Amino acid sequence: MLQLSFKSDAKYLRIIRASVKSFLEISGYKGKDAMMIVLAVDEAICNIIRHGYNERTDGIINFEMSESEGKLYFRLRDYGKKSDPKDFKSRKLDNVRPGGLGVFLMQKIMDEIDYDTSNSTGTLLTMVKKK
Amino acid sequence: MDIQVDTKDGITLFHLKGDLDLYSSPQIRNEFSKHSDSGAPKIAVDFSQVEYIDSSGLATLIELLQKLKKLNGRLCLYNINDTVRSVFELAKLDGIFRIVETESAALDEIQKT
Repeated sequence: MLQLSFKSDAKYLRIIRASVKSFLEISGYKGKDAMMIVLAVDEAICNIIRHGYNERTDGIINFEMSESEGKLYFRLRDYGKKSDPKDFKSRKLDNVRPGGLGVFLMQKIMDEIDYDTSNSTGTLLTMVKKK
Repeated sequence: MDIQVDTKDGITLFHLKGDLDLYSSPQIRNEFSKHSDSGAPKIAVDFSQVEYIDSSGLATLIELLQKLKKLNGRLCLYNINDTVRSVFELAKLDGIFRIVETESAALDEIQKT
C-alpha cells in the first residue's frame, strides 16, 4: 500500500502521475496500459479540484493505492463538496464539446467506480482495476 | 509547458513541450487565443514532445477546433506518439481532429482544404 496526501492544486498532478506510474511498474504494468490507469487517476483528482473544491488550492486530498487478490485499488478522499454520482452522465459519443470527458474516460478505463458520500464532509472515491 | 510558435506559408505552428493537463491548459488556451481570434486562422500543432494529455488538454483542443470552424479556419495535429494518440482514440476524438504524421503532411493538409 502507498499513501499520499496533497493539496488540491493542479501543480501537483505531475508528481502524482509519476507516483502512480511507479506503483504500477511494481505491479507489472507498463507502457500504454499503465498510462491509461494513470489517466483515470489523474481525471479523478482533476474532478475533485474542479468540482469538489471548486478550484480552491488549499483543500486536502488523501490518496491511497493498493493491490489485493488480483485487483488494484485507488482511493481518493476529499473534504469538499460531496460528489453526486447522478450528476455523472457518460458522454454521448457524438457529443463533441469540452466537459464531461473526464468521467467518460474514468468509466472506460476502470472496472469499478464507487462514490461514498456517507461521511459528514466530502467524498471517498474508490476505483478498481482488475489485473 | 514550453510553447514555441512559428509561421510557415501563412500557417501558425505551435510546438508544445511537456504535459497537456489541467495545470498547463490555461497557458496553452491563452497562447492559442493570441493566434486564433480573427481572420481565418490556419493552425498546426506539433505533439512530438508531448508525453501526456488528459481531458483538460483535449477540451482545450476541442475549444480551439470549434473556434476555428466558426472563423472558417483550419487545424491539424501532427507527430502524436502512440500513448497520446490512444487517449484521443479512447475519447473517440481521433475522427474529429485531422491528425497526420509529419509537419510537411500537416502543412499540405491545411493548404489543400
